[in-house]
Amino acid sequence: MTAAACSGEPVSWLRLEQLALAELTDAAAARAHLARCPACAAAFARITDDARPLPRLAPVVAPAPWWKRWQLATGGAALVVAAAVVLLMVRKPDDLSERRTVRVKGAGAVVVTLVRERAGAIAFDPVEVRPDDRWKVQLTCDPGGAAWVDVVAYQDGQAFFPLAPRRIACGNSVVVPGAFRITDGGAELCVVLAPEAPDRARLGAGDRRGATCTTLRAR
Amino acid sequence: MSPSGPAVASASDHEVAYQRYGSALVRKAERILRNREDAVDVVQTLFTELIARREDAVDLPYLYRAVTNRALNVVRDTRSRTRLLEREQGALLPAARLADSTRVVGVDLLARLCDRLDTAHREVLVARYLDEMTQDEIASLYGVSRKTVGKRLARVDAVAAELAGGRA
Repeated sequence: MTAAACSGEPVSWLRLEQLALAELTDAAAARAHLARCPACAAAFARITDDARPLPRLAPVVAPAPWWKRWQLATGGAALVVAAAVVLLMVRKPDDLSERRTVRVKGAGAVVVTLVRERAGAIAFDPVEVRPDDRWKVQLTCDPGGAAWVDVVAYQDGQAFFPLAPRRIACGNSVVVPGAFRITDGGAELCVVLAPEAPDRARLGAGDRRGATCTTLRAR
Repeated sequence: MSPSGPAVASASDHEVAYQRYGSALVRKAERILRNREDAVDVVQTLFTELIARREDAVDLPYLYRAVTNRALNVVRDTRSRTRLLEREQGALLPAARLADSTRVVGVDLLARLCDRLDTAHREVLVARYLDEMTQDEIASLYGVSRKTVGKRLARVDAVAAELAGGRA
């Protein structure tokens, strides 16, 4: 591959990428330049010859817009509400997907999904809990990585660890082994991700670093 | 000079955009960060946040700007700078094609330039010396005049000369 400089102004990398994607409006001019410029032709070849696979994007569920959440919450009936309540909802959108992505050394971005089974019905990332619900945790991160995961439920100032901490190899929707129930009302359920085995003493003391937490309301 | 491609918006569209533009953006981030691992990380984080935030339509020029800013943030972070220098894979990157510059903007020089320049100048630095855009293209991409681009480049060159002369 030549390392020579372009004799004039090179076709920028952005325009070369657009040319490769058939998105360049003045493609003819760019192609004419490539035909007489070995340096730019070599640069274009680097793009078209690049066969390295693109790692899969960790799935993220986009939150519903605030107005749709409002409609769902009210059954679409109560459209006239106090202005203060509306303002509060606009100012504090409940962005679950953003909150449940945790970055961990050795695994990168890890998307955490809470799975609830209630009388055979599966719900992802719910916010309500009943004593007979069965809960599991799913993780999604790029294959090749790994992370330790632990689950801690905080109730009335006490920490409970329903599963054994485990090191999980990354993948798409990897289910953390084990399921659990949350009895005695609502709880703050935290999924802790760490490059090494999480320190339960620290978690028991309420230190939530490296955790993504969800407040589950009793229903 | 900076034609926009098809614009996309919804979460699934952002995933389609990742498939369409992801490789181009990783290559761009690689030119700044000089290693693929960090480049992939920057691009994946960008799309994850785009999806989560339900941002409006995106096209390749928009994403190029976003990757520039995010990659420069990585370079400026002193904690990640050491890692970047350890991982630097300059030999794997294309040679500069600009006839008026033999400057190789590696991580070390880029980091030291970033320490001395504000955001607007850093963007012009990357657009010119790493993305090899013309001044007209840079002006179009960032919505400023060509004269402004010229002034910013002159400032970038002056700081680079100071650093090369050991007067930083």
